[in-house]
Amino acid sequence: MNTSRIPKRRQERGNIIILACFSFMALSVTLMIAYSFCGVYWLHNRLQASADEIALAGAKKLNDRDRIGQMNNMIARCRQLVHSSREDYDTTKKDYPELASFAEPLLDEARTSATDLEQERKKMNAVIKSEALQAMKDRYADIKGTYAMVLPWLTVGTPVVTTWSLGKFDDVQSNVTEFTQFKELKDQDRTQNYVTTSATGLNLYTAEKNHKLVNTDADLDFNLSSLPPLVGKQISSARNIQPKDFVPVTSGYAPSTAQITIQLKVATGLGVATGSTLIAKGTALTTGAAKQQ
Amino acid sequence: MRFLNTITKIEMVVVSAAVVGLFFTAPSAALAEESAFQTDYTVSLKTETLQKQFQYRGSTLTKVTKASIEYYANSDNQKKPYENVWFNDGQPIGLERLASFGLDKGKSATLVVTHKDQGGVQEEKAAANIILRLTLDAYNNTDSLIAVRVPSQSFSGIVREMLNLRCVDTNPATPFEASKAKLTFTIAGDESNGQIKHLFYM
Repeated sequence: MNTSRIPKRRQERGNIIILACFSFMALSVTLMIAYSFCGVYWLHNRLQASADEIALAGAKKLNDRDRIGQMNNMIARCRQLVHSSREDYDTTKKDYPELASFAEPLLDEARTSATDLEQERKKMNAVIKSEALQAMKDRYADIKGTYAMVLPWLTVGTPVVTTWSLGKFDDVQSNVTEFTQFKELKDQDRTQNYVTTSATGLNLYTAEKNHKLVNTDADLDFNLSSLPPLVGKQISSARNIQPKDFVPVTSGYAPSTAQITIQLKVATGLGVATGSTLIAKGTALTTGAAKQQ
Repeated sequence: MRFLNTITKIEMVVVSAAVVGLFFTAPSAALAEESAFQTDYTVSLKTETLQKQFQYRGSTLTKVTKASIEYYANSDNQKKPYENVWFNDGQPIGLERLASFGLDKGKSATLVVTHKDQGGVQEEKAAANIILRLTLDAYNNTDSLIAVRVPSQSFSGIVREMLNLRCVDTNPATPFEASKAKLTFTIAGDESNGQIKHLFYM
């Protein structure tokens, strides 16, 4: 047969349809893969935002109503009270021994206050830890139900929090500025490394340290926890921070940061089923100390 | 120094006895009160009840009051801060010394108590405790706290709290010698209505 007589256009028309079909199929697959990747990317961002939100809910509860700030300040003041009362008693006993029985009860009540305050501090620590963890769990409960979905190109599970942690911001001291009016106490504080100069130039009592008096009253405890101080009139607001700045809090001290790790299973289900677990870590710092009354 | 201290102690006893004597023998109690309060210094004690303190479940620090103490020489009225003391239900829990006790040695002072708001039992407890502490501070500085002037509405409350803090009242039924008291406190109301009480630490 002589094909040269068949019009050339009729031969090419059949090839275009087949080509178009293959192109359309390839484009569809590409689009679905792109949707999957975008979806995973979007989910990861959303998971990180949720982690930050949960951690922040816990962190805000820690120094709620400035309870850590107030406790730190009162403990430092109680220390001064004991020192002052001891000084008065010693002076009275030496110079006016007939009045020692008058001064002694004033010293005793200062010492009793120190013991009582330490008990209150421990009680408060237990309460704030419990409340912060509960706040995080409540926020997680609100969020977790909004994730699960099944789409042709993406299957999303329910996020699961794998770790709940309370700690402190690395290298942040207590919120209490050094008291300097009692010279002997001031010298003792410097010798014992009870005072640290912060990056903002404030001389703050060192956090997570028992600022024991170095004398007859060394049996008393004066523990101060870490908390961002008031700088001028600026209160440090509760906020999300880098996970690297989170360090575990020493046992017995109040935490000032909250951290969670959250995981989410996703699967694309294209061709050979592929799945992965997204992980996000949220970390937040509590509100700093307010102006003390 | 001990000789000077001894003289000061004798002076204090004499002054205290004189004050008590004036109260019992002077034709006008107001005249006695007025002369007793002419001192070199005035120490000002202001109490206030603090709100929103230590708010956590199970807190026992719920009755926090603050006492702010200043002083000034009656010759110049320039107020100088001394210290702040915090109380919970009348028990001192914290102190912040602002400056040294700058009264010249061997001088006399009147303590004037005021309340920032209405006063009340907690502030009366705080005031009574501070009266004792300041008396000791003054004593150790060889000064004498001659009298304490308190708001009239708090007069009986402060006297009651001082009696709870180991002070004693005069008891006309039994023989009493004021000169045997180690410390004497003269508490007066801030209105000229005859509110005056002498308490003693024996």
